[in-house]
Parts: sequence; structure tokens; C-alpha cells
Amino acid sequence: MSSTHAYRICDLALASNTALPELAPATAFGAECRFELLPPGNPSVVDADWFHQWTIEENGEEEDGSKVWLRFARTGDGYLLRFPSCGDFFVSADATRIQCRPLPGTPEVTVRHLLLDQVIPLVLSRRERIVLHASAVLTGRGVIAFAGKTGQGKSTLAASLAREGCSLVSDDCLVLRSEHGEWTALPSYPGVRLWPSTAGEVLREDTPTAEVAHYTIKRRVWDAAVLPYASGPAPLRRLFFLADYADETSFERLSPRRAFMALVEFAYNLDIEDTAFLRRQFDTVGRLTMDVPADAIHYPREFNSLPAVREAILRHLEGDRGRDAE
Amino acid sequence: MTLNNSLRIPDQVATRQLGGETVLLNLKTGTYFGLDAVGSRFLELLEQNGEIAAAHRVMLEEFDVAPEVLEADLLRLAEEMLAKGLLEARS
Repeated sequence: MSSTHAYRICDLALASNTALPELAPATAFGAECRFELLPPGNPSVVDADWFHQWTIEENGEEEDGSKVWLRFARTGDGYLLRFPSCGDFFVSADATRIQCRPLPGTPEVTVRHLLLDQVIPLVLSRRERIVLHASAVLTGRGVIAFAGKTGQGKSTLAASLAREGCSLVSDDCLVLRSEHGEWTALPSYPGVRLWPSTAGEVLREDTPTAEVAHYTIKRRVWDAAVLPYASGPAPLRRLFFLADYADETSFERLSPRRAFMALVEFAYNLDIEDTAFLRRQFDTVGRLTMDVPADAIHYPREFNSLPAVREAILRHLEGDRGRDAE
Repeated sequence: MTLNNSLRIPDQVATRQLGGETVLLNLKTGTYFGLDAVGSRFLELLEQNGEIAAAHRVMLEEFDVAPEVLEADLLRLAEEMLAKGLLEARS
């Protein structure tokens, strides 16, 4: 690498040969993972064992309305993550090295987004207890997490709570660690990604935003003066699973089994065929569901309902305080 | 599938009890499966004996249910779990 930048994302010390302005620079540094941005190029023919893919639903695409967003392959010395419309990421088997060869014309902002919001969560899943596709905020009662499918409103809820006294912990990559039955949430990196309409409703009109990637109109909001960011790890108190629309906010306590089945759907996993990893994740998610209560939350999605939804969530947590004191 | 079948949990299936319910994972296929308290009791009895008929007898004493209803429920569950590789025939 010609020059090295040092960062921290979640609890990972990351070295990079290109600037990653979305991340806070690290001071004391011993890199646990190195990222290298290679010159653009067309996909090389590699001897790869393709074993998995993520698809996205889009109108006007292929006949069944879905297209491949990300393909997973094993190579001789690790994994190849191919975003067919953007480029290739190579991840070493021990998850200490990431290289990206973008397709010609892929902007660097897109490469950074794919690295930070797609590849790093998968890399972290090889190292950490649990990495969830969930947003999270720090409240006066500890961290609460929101898991749900893309577009269900995780980031909107998190940003809304952060505007009213909470601190952001993650936008959609939540890392959890456990010790003696206590689960700790690690802040990922500052900011959330919001649709322009959401940003306009939840934040002030003059809130600075930045491009997320060339293929989306979502905007990144990172200003800590607007959305405070958690300064360090904090205990996880509650998992919320975003459920169907409802006119009024209501909560439904999930049994550990139901919480488990929901959680495994939102857990990142670089290699879904690695049976040793699957067994570890199975045990870890099982412990999490026994240690941390989980609720399905049904709520209205209209922007003008957000204050009432926020209040209902925080009041629900205060109910825990009352139950704990009994 | 009849009550006379004997079944067991294959080696490649991980199971975990969670508060009286059960989750299973077929490590070969990555398929997860959840059982409520009744399904969990069925699996527990299958692990002890293997015979669906034996599980059926015990559960008739434990649950307020008609024999034919319980039989249909157990056979349907057993077939679903067999199809997902979460149970296999005892040799």
C-alpha cells in the first residue's frame, strides 16, 4: 500500500489504502483487517465455487421481478463477493484482508458504501458473536435494537429517536457481544442512511447530507450535532422486530423460539455452508433469545405519527423499570 | 407415514430447547425450524423411544385432544420434518 489510513468500525481496527471519510480516524492502531482498493477492471476469471446469492426485488427487471445483487463464491484462499453491477470484493479466509476491484465507472463513494455497509458486516460475522441487520439507539434504559426487512423503517425509527435524546449505535450493522449473560452492543460508525423524504421530515431542512452511492437516492446523515452518536459499548436491553402497519402502536412479546426464528433471518453470515460456524451461531442466537426480551412492534408508518411511536417505545421501556423494581 | 413409523433426529441436526419450545437447524441445508410446546414434547418423546405410536399414547394422556386429531397432527408434523431432513427413519 502506498499510504495507509487507520480507522475503527464497530470494534474492528481497519487499515485502508484509500480514505474512508465516513469513519472516524483511529489513533492507537494495530490493524486487524486491511482494505486495499485496486484499480478498476473487469471481473477476472477465477476458479470459484459459487454457493450463494442475494437478490433484490425490482419492477421492470427480470421476468420474476428479482435480480442478483450479490453473489458469494469460495476461492482457493478465501471468498469472492461479486456485486455484478459494481465490482468484486475478495475476502481472505481469516477475514484479515479485503480487496476491491471495482468495475470501470463505479464511483468511489459506491465502493465505500459497499465496503462499509455490506462487506464489513459479513467480515465481522466471522469474528464477532452476532452481527445483525438492525439499527440501534442508546436510551436511558440501555440499547434498543430494531430489526426488520429493508424498507420497513429501521433507520427512520433510529433517526427519530436520536433527534429526541437518544444516541445512535448503528444504522443497520449491529454487533453484539456477550459476557455472563450480559449482551453488549458495539457502536458501528456515525450516521444513518435515509430516503430524502424521510430526512426532510425527521431532520431539519438544512441538515447536511451526503451521497450514499450512485445507484440510490438515499442520503447519508452523519452530523453528530444533529444525530448524536453513542460514545462506546452499552448493554442491550430490548430487541424490537418491526411488524405490520397498525393505526396505534402496540407491542407483542415474542417467545424465545419466535425471537430466535426472527433473529436468524437478520444475522449476517459470510458462509452459509460453514457448518462449524452455523453451529456456533445457532448456540449464540439461542443464548441471546433467552437473555434479552424481544417484542414485535406494530405501528403506524406516517411521519406525523413518529412522536407518538417514539413515546410509546420509551414508555414501554419504562414499564420494564417498574417490573424490575417489583 | 403411520403411527408405526420410528423416527430419530439425524446427526447433522442441531437442537436447542428455549423456554419449553425447541429450535432445530439442519446443518447440511441451513434450514431452521421452530417447534411450539406441543411439537417440542413430541420431539422429546421421539428422542426417548422413536415410535410415533408411543409418543401418541403419552400425549393423549397429557393433552385434551381427540386421538384422531392428535394422530393427524403428529403425522403431518413428522412428514414436514422428514421432508426438511430434521427427522429420519430409524433403521
